[in-house]
Amino acid sequence: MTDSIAIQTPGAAVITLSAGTVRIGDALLIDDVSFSLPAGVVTAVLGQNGSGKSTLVRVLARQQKLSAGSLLLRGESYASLSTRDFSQQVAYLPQYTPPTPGLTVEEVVKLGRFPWHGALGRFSQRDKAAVARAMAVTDTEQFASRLVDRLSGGERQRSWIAMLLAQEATVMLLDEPISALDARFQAEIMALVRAVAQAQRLSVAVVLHDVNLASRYCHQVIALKSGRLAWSGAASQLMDGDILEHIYDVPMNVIADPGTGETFAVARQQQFDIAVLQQPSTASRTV
Amino acid sequence: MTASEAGKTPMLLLGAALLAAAVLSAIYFAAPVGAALAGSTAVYDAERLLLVYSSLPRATIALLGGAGLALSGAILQQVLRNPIASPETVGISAGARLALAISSAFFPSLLGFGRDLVAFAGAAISTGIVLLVSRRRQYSPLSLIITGLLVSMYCGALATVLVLVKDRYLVSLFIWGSGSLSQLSWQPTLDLTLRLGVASTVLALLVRPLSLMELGDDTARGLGVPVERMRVIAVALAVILAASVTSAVGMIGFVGLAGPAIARLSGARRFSTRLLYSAVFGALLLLITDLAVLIVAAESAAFLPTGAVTAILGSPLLLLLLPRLRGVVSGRLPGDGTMSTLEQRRTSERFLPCVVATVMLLTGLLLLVGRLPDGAWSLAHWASLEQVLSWRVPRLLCAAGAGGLLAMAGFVLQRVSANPMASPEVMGVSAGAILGVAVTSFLFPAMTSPLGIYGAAALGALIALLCVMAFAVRSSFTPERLLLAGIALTALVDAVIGLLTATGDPRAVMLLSWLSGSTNGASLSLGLIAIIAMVALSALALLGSRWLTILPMGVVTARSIGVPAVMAQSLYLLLVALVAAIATPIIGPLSFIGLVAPHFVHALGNFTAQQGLLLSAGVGAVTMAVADTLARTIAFPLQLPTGLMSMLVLGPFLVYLMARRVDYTDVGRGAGG
Amino acid sequence: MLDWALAETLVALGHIPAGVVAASDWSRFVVDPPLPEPVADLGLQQELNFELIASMRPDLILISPFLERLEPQLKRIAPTRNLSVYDPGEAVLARRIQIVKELAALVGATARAQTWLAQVEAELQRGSERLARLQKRPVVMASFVDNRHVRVYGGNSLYAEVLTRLGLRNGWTHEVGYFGFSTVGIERLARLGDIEFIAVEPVPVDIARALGQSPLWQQLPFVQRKQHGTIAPVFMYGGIPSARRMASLLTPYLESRWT
Repeated sequence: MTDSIAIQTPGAAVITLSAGTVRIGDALLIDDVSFSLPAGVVTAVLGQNGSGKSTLVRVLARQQKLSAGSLLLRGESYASLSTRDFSQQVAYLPQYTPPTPGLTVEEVVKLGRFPWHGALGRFSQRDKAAVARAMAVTDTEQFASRLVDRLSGGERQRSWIAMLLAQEATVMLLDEPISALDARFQAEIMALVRAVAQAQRLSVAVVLHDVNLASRYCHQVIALKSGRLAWSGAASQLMDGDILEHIYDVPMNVIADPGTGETFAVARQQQFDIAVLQQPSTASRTV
Repeated sequence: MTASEAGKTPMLLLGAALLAAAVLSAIYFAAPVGAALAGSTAVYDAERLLLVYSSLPRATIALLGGAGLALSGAILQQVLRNPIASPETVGISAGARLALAISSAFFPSLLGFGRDLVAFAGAAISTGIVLLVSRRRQYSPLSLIITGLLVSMYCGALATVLVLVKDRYLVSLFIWGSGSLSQLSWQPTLDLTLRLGVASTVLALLVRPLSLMELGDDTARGLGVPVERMRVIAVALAVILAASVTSAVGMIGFVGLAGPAIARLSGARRFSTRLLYSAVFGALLLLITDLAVLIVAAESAAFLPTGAVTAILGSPLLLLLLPRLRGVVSGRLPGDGTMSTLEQRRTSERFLPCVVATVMLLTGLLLLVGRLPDGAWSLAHWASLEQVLSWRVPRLLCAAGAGGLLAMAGFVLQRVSANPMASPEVMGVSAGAILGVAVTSFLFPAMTSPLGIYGAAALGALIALLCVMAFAVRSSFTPERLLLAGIALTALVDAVIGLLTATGDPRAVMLLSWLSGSTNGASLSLGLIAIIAMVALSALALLGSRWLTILPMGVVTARSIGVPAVMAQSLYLLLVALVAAIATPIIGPLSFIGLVAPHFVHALGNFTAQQGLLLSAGVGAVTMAVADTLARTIAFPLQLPTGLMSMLVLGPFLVYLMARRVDYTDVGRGAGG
Repeated sequence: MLDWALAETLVALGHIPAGVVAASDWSRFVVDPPLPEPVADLGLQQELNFELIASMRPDLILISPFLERLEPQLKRIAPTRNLSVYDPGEAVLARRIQIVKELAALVGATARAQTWLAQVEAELQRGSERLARLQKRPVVMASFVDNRHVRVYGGNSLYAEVLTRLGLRNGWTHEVGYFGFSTVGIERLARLGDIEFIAVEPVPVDIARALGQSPLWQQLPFVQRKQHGTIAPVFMYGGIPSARRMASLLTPYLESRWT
């Protein structure tokens, strides 16, 4: 089940994790997980709550150290890279974006250029061009001079993705980038991520809760369960009742849209025992 | 309480505490009890008298006092859902102390009327202020503790002014402030028993609704608890408990924190169990400490107040407990939108020259303000200018330089720690500097050279900072932890200084004046050094202005865009230590300028990190220059210390600021899955 | 002109200083000699008003070692002399007699100082002779700090030395701190035997009630025998004038009690 599955446009592996394990105290958060992220591919990271999704992405973002196993970025060990080298190649959006005290959208996007110009370097033409491009791609120019903290959730998330794009990294790691957004913005952000990944040949890993979004916008899926790899494969093969039940421990119905043929998964309704639910006081009163 | 809940740990802990108390009691009481039992034929038996009317009531009041304080702490922790709430950390003790100081200095007859009432009134007012301010933020733990600390510091500063102006009346406050358990009769013990008895009865009636408050306000309300009313009643009860103990025996530091902490540690999960265990452990803790103090200090000339000892023991405990403070606020920095209505960035090509020119103009004008020997206000005219300026310029330069430095450091700290309430004063760095001087002046009384004093201050600041940093590294720079580590350190410094001054040594007054930040008698060269340091260090800080833009977003974001976060933080903390070492000896640790100036700058508009840093320094310099001028003239012919003056002016402003900033809440981190 | 001990000595020598620190508190602690009217208040001991001092154009500034750190600033205004009133290694009265002489030399009143010192000497002598005729007990000098604590004087304090000079025995023989006193809980007085207990004013307002409630205090031997009382304020860090004042207060007080 853990065999990797061929993808339409297989790129070279950019990040390779082998036998990765994270242990904090007695808890085994990630247990012997291996996979790779190829270029030009969007990988969904799925799993139940507490299955280790965020930890895994934090490991990839070098925010969390591995207890065992190896992690390579283009063949080089993570530990051997300097902070700056690493952030020129890997961009990370945490689950909760921090408050941005008094910063405008443009200023936040410009911060993405830090790995390139450093603390003291000049803000060059190249930096300017990268910022302009990132803002054009994400369509954030219209609110460039507004304060980030004043934007709506979707606009704010787009600004952050613009910052990540300005970073011009080849790997983008997104931890639940759409969980707090409305349906419209969810689709918008995911479509943006997919388009950019394909156009710029980025490798993207994105933590998601929604299997339907994963199957629609991602190429590849990694599913975790209690820190172990539960399933991995092409997104197109995800929509299978057995696979989904294995991942989420709940029976799922997979339904095809009669018009488009697209498939959707819905958890089956839970059955409760009526007798248990009835209040004893009510019951006695009816006697 | 069930057996399974109690488990083995509390029994072990309890056993250990009881054993310690028993052994110490045996050592201390064996001889006198033996003598008393043997009976004496003498008409006057000093030992028996001491045993019956001093030692026994003393032991009893130690038990009662410890229990009362620990109960107070346990109640506060419960209703405020804050594991480090205690009579000291929410401002009860400081309020009581200030009230007693005021009445000793101005209305001594009130004390004859009732020390308790005075103490209770003061405690109620200060606690009320703290709660009112933090109510706006749903009593978020961090905001509450910080407000408590600030109000405590403010009360302390006011008391200090009183001691400075009327020092000879208030020697008693030193002793009261460091809590001595000396007893002369059973009367105070009986009084306290009565009070604690009534309070405990009321408490017993409230145990059930209070237990529910653990679930959070909304849930408790849903279960039918009148949350607001219950909280007010419970806090009032805690204030009564603590103020009764405090007025009976003085300030006993940290038993109110330690008792409940040990109770929690021993696995008392339910509120009722926790109350009981807190009381028992608090009582034993104070008894053990007091007996140890008695045995150690038996016949020595040095006066060793028990309260100061518990306070010194308590600070490390607070540090140990900090990691338990979960789910605290991540505050938002000044400039996060909601307060400022200015969307547009203020930009100007001539920003720096404008700031410099304004600062120089304002401070220049201040130099001219003065008072004549007969007390009349005057603007200096050309004839007298030269003579007058030779006195005013150095102190003004010192004040402005130090103010600018601290304000700049405050700005930097607030950004580096992503905490709007950080500042050198609050983080204990300034306190460390003072501690260095205090210890030196008592170890080497002969050393009075300015160089030695500055050396001691720098050393103290550095040690304090290293402690805080070591702690911070362990807790991966969580801003709240950093801040609270500083608070604990400040408390330790207070305790040590309290202990040193309790002896009534005249050097204590010198130390107090040091604490209050006197710019009087500063030399021109010192003033120039302060100004040069301000300019140079600000320039240095500006080098990393990009770091300063990014760090407030937190370590994760900073790291992911390639900022060596820990290194940047360490470098800036070092800079702050340097600032504290230079500025604290000049205007003392209590000025508040480092905390207030960045907020003031924010109120002016929305600025970049670079501009904010420069403006903060400018605002700091001008504010301190104003404080210096006020200190020089307002109580003529008396002069007040500049640092203290600045605190008196800025304190209310700060409380206003905290009360107004509704955006500083627990939900700062955004909603998320 | 800045230190109280120096100022009271100057006043006793008939030389009125132009200004004194914390002049407004003088009447509560030093009392006698009274501070003449035109003396200016120079501010707090720790916050001298330099501008004011400079505008007064003094001829000479006198300070004690506590203000040593301000000496450079004061020297800019006028010649400054630093006179040490206290030195733990040297007997208090001897040191202060020395101060009188040094001050007299500075203000040109040497002759007057000699007659005055002789006069004080004679008074102390007379005092000790008057007391010598009486039934003597050791005396404990104390000041109440609050209603549970008391400062007791021994060793090298002004009070203790005056006791000795009057031919009395100090009842407090325990170790004392740097400045010749120690702060203790009132219960520590219980082990004192047959002594005369004298508290120096001012005393805290609620002390009477606290002591009244204390069986311990009531049963103390010196309380039972009514061998306790208070005398008017005497400046405990004072100079020879304070010593003289204390002797003049103590002698009649003890005479009235010991007959």
